[in-house]
Amino acid sequence: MNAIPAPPAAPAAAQLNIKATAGHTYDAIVIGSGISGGLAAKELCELGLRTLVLERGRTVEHIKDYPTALSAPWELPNRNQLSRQMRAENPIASRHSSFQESTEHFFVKDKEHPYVQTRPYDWIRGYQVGGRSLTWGRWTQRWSEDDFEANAREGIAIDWPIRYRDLAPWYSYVEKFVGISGNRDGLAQVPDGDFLPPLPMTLAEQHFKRQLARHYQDRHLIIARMANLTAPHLGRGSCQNRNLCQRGCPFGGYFSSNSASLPAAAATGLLTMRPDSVVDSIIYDPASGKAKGVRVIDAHTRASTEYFAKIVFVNGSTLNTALILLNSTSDRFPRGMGNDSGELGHNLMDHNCNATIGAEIPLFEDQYYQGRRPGGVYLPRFRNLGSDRTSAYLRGFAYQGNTTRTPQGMPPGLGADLKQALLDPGPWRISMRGIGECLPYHSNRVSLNPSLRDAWGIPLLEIDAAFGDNEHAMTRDMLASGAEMFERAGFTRITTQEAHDSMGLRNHEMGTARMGRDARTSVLNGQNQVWGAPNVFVTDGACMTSSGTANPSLTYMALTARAAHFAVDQLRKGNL
Amino acid sequence: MPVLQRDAQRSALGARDVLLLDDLGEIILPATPGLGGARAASIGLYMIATVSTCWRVEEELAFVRGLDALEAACVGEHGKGFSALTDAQKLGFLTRWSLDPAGAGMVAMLKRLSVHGYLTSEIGATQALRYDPVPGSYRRIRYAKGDKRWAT
Repeated sequence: MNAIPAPPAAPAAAQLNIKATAGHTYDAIVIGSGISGGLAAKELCELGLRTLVLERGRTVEHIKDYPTALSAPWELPNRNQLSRQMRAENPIASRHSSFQESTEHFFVKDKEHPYVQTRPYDWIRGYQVGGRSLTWGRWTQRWSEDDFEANAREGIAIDWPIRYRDLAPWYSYVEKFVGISGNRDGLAQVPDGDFLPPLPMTLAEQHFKRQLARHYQDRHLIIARMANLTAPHLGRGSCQNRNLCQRGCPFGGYFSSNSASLPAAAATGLLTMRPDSVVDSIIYDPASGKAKGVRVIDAHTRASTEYFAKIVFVNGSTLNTALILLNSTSDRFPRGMGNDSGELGHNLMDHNCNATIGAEIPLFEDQYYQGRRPGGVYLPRFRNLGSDRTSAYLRGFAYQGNTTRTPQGMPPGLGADLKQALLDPGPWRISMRGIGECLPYHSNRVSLNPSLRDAWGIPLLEIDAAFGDNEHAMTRDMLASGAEMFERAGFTRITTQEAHDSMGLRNHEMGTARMGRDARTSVLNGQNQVWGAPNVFVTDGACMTSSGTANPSLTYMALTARAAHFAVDQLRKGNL
Repeated sequence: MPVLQRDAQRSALGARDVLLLDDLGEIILPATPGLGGARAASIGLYMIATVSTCWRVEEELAFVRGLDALEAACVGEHGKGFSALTDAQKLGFLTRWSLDPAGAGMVAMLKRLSVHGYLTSEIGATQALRYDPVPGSYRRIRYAKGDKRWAT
């Protein structure tokens, strides 16, 4: 990579006149406007803090900036197929199923954001206001008590410094804002929440649910808990069942920073949103023993500016958060902010979704549906819980599933008969994809490349991570268990498909700045405060000490709300 | 219509292929009483755009060469190009060519393009199939054999 000229040096703080500094001073700074950053901004603003949100990407305004939200297939230039050029220019992003002609403007251009892969890693990014909350899958589950206890019980990595009971009230708090549709199922492994009415199951799914209950003690099928509204909620409209969420929703039917958190923050009059602001580092003040602000590189002009605040929330998304902390060096933190332990950048995880199982359901030929349900069904974890003990691996997995009548394959022949055959929806089919926990391996890590820098003069991130033996063993069981359940349910034409996706492609990357009880072995304490810089909070995926099986965004938001309220409480008490 | 001389070394489709591809698509998915077929859905333009913009370079080359081979085979059999045949002759030729090892791959590509291009067109999605842009809810409905499926 060519050497990039350094951006113009920022004037030393002492040389700025008082007015300029005041103009750059806020009560709180939030780095990142994605799903956790947006929520941090809302909480901090609603608690009365003048809050600056620094987003490295462009503005995306709710509804106004969703260019393809209402496009019919024939209105898209390539009928929603990716062009050859798009795939060639975005070899990483184009591996992701959400990267389509109709959504590509919500993903980064790979060549503009290089990184180093020591082992193959697919880093999927959306750099715009709202981040990946625009394109996320919207599945949500709470963590269970078992998830928080697992590391300690099995002697893996370090113990979480919190338990489910610490987070339960914040899950409720966040669910009530976000609007989560779901059913109260009474299962310990996926605790019930504060739900809007659930989406309906198909008859085929209800049949599968009954079959599971008949053939197993501990296997359940539940309607997926989704961040899609089944009733109007806090000024947003009900989901219209178009299932085009990742294009942005003109009805506000699903939760995103853009549709919900940022408007709520803005309504307080205390929000300042600064897009096109690449964060270089957090500025540590040795005199106070705290961070005093953030150094920003303008995305277009490359001018360097400093902003100051009493509290900093780092929500740049797991890997960018790690990068920023690693790049925030000082005499106090020579290896990166909060890195006394040496764990910063380590213990990177992602979910393992390399198992897909499909089948035909030879029933309900006289049943169909109208509408495109924006979710599916969820088969919660059953392995290594209760009396189920497998020696093949630790932890477990869930399945995300769906039933549809969507034809597969091409009917034979040509002509009028072919045309007629195309109208047929075919039989009911079921598909399930495993979502498996990934252990925290110390050797799965990110670091700053010593010589290569990006267009903003920031070191490139080097990613060295891969799934391990526990994950591979789990993949085999995800395939075998899924096929067995389909067989016992009487389904036919069962297929199993093993993918070999690299870590990262599932976009649930977590870890690198883990929470813990001890500054010698973690980066954050039980309140998500950076050890040694107590006014810096990390509440995005970077903070996670283990990965669980749950789709993680709801947990990030619960941690964020809890930390924001703690931060403001501490500020008011004069502790920060 | 005179048979166009086709450059044996060509690797890309051009405007002159639109009518031939329309004709091929129309045989694969013809107009039926009350319902337009692939030609009404401008399938020729769709095929050219998709093959040259979305398909990989080697796939595009296979399609272009396959199209020229199809035309040459037709000329060999009938003394004239595909577009000059009667509908019955077109269907007969294409069916035989689909069973010929030299032509099976090409007919499969033409089918794939015709089906996708037709079913994502306005005619195909809204008239051949059912299209509901804003369903509102997700609900059960009955299905009787012959009912049209949803386009999306």
